[in-house]
Amino acid sequence: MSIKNRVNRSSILMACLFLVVGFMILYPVGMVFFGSVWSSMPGASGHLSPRGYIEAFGNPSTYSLLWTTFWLATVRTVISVAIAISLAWIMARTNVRGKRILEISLLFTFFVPLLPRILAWIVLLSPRTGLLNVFLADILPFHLPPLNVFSYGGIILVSILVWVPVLYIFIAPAFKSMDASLEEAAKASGASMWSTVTRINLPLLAPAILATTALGFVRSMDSFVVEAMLGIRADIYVLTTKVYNYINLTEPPNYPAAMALSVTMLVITFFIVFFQWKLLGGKEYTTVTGKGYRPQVTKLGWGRWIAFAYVLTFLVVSTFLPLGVLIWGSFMKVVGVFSDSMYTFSHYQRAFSASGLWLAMKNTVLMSTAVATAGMVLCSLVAYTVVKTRVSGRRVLDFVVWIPWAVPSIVMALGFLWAYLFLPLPFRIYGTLLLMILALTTTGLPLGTRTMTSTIVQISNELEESAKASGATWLRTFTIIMVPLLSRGLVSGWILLFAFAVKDLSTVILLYSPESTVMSTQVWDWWRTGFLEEAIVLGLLEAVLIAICFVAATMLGERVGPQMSKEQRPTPKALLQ
Amino acid sequence: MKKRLLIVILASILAVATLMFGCSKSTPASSSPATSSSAATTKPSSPAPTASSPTAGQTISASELATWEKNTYEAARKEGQVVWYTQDAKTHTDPMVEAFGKKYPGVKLVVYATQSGGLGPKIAAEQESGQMIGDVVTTGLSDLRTFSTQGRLAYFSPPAAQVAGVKWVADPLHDQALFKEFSPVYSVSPQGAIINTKLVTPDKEPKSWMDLATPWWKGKITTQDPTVPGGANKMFYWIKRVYGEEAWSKIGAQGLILERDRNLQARAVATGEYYIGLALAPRELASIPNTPTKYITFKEGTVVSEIGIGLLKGSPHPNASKLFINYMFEEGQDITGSTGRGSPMRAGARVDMPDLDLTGQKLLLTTPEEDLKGVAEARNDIKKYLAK
Repeated sequence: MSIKNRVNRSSILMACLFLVVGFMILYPVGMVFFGSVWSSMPGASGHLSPRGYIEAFGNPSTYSLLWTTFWLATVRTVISVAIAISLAWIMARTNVRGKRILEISLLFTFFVPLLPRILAWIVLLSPRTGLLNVFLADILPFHLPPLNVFSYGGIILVSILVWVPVLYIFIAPAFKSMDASLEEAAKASGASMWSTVTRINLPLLAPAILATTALGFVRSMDSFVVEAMLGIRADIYVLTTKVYNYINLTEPPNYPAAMALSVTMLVITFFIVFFQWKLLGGKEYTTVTGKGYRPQVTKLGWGRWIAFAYVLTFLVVSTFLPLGVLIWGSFMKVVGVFSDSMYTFSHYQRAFSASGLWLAMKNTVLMSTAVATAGMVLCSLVAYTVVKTRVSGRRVLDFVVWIPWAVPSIVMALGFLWAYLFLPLPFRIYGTLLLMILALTTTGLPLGTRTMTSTIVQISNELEESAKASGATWLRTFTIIMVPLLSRGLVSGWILLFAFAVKDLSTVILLYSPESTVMSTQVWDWWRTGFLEEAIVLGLLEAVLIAICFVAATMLGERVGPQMSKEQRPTPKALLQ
Repeated sequence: MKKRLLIVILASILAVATLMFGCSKSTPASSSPATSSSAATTKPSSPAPTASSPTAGQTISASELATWEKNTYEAARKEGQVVWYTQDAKTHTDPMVEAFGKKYPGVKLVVYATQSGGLGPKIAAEQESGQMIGDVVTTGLSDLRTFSTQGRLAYFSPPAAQVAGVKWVADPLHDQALFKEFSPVYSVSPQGAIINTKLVTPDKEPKSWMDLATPWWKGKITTQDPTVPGGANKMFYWIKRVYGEEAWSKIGAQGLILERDRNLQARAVATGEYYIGLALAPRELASIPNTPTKYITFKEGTVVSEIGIGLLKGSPHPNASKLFINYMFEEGQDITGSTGRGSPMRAGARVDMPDLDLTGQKLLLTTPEEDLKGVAEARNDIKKYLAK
């Protein structure tokens, strides 16, 4: 195989990906750009105008919102990443007590939908009537100021608890796949555990950690639901709240200003990604080589119980406690209101007899399966191109796939609506599941691509080169060498995208029609009309649906997975590590 | 060289996207109140013969209504369905779907739940692209007036609202004097307050807005955010109108807790987190049943939000749409009242929730001019009194 042919093939792959990914992302984002310089809503009469930028940045409150958004994102990201790394290290590289049950529990945390979780924390930490506050007041012999979920602390706490499981799933494969020989060499040279971690593990994991940090920061900047539900009562506003105000609470809606702020967030994201590239430079981070590897387990001694307690504490606070409140609350007439006859099954009866529930479930499974499958094919190719080729423009491609998460989801939803309604097609796509699949595959690209990038970056080129030297074609090399080695990443990415598609609401809210209704829109429908207990029931049903698909996918992954030795083959429970 | 090529590809995608959008963009002329006559560029997917209906202001007999209904039903059956964009709860829409389906077999009422903020852009984008899904929209009258001004609505005056001898709490067709493509009002939502009866004993129950300015209420009040459009905005506008700006200062000094989610606000009162929730409607009680809560009104009068129904221009099912709009002024009135959606406009319509019976109450209504000036200004003016 000549170098020229390889370069040409990479260039063709790159060009194809640019066309596909570029269309999927830049077309709707182009609408957002267009909206920022158009004097009214795209589609309505207007003219090119800088009015949106002038209004947004002529308002002094924008700068204080920018600062609040920035410092909140920084604090939440730093703490979330630190906890995610510690969890990943404990679960992947230590002999922590009760590893299997902790593994499954950590994965389950990811499946619980967001809105009910926030409600659970409101029930637990409302300043006057929160269950935890009442409990603490009862047992403590001294007066303690009540914990208040409607505060900066509350926003930070809930955001961290929601985001750590996502970041953990994102970063854990890198810990699991790291070659132990380097650690062994360090130990053989007399290095301490601390020294090994800081001088061997962390530098090797730098790409995954940096990518996770960047992801966490961008998502924190874009976060809206937590701030809207917990912040407004405490007079706390962030950039996304402002964007929401411009679109939803201003008469007439100020689209140019909303779009101008969104473009600003896009620019900030560009600098974050650029900074990440600069930090990494051209260093090599290969940890999986042709020499074979096995993960090394650090024996913690009595420390395994401390590690167990640490993970368990996180699980209790992040999942068991709010989930317990949710399950309990789903049997209460009104969550958080206690009386003599407060229990009922009526919420379950009403939720399960709701019109359209079964259509929504069928649509959800179809849509999420398609999003996860199409997304992983695309994300794998993008990640491979970015990491394993030297073709020009790969970094631009890497940046482009970040964009869907750089734009606030409420704005991105408008971008999709405008983009696909005005797309001249021979068939109708608006209001169909196909459009929702396309939109969700687009917004899921950053998640899937980051998952695959952090896995592919650790696989040595020598494996591919050996296969090629043995006469294997590129396709055969990719399927027999890369795919098996990537199977963990592929399965974890698939599950992530599936769960993401099941839970997503903001992307599909403007795109669905009565025929393409999904479970998240049903949950939202109950939620917005005040029937929170029914919303909780359906939210729990969503989690069960994701869990079923998780089990099915891991069983399938085990069958089609790599032909490794028994020690190397991932167990179903470990597939998402 | 390759970098340049990539830059060219990226720029081309953006340019093509913008051009594609720009080329397909039409420019609906906006119209002003009372003179609105412009047509948005829309393409109804399946135009059907439209049954003629009486013009607004014209009174008709019951037999004329029956004839119109028969003809329209015939045409509607050929269309098969009507898509209803609404923010109403399933507890309201499900009975409506069932009852409408029973009365008009072969015409399916399909509900599409929307959020208020996304409604305008969605309707506009559908109409501009000619890919209409929605037929009929129900929402607050101020939103509908905006849609009318933007040329998003089509003219239709429901015959059932014009039948001679039928009495109405207020004229459901009153907006026809202001907008050509007006929206009939089928319901009003009173905006009073919900109190926690365990915490607010009868002697402490506020009778007047100004009772809330007494020291006992400090730190106990939560309200919908009056700095954004909505019921609280109108309530505080009326407080200033009746008692002057000083009333804002006194009530604002109580440390009001602002909330934008009506349901969370009602729950905060039900759990005892706050003693009173201002600018809430009786229907919020439906989500907190069996709790120590109660809806109250104030002696100054009841601020109301009017809920209207509009026919979307370019509706794919115009006859079925008209049939449904008309239905909302017939049996739909009883369903509106009995499901707690709001107070029906027809006098004597079924109302199961006593709080929705507005008989004898002083209703505080605002004109469109007031909405655009005084009410809008109040959103900004009040901010300084709410500062913490």
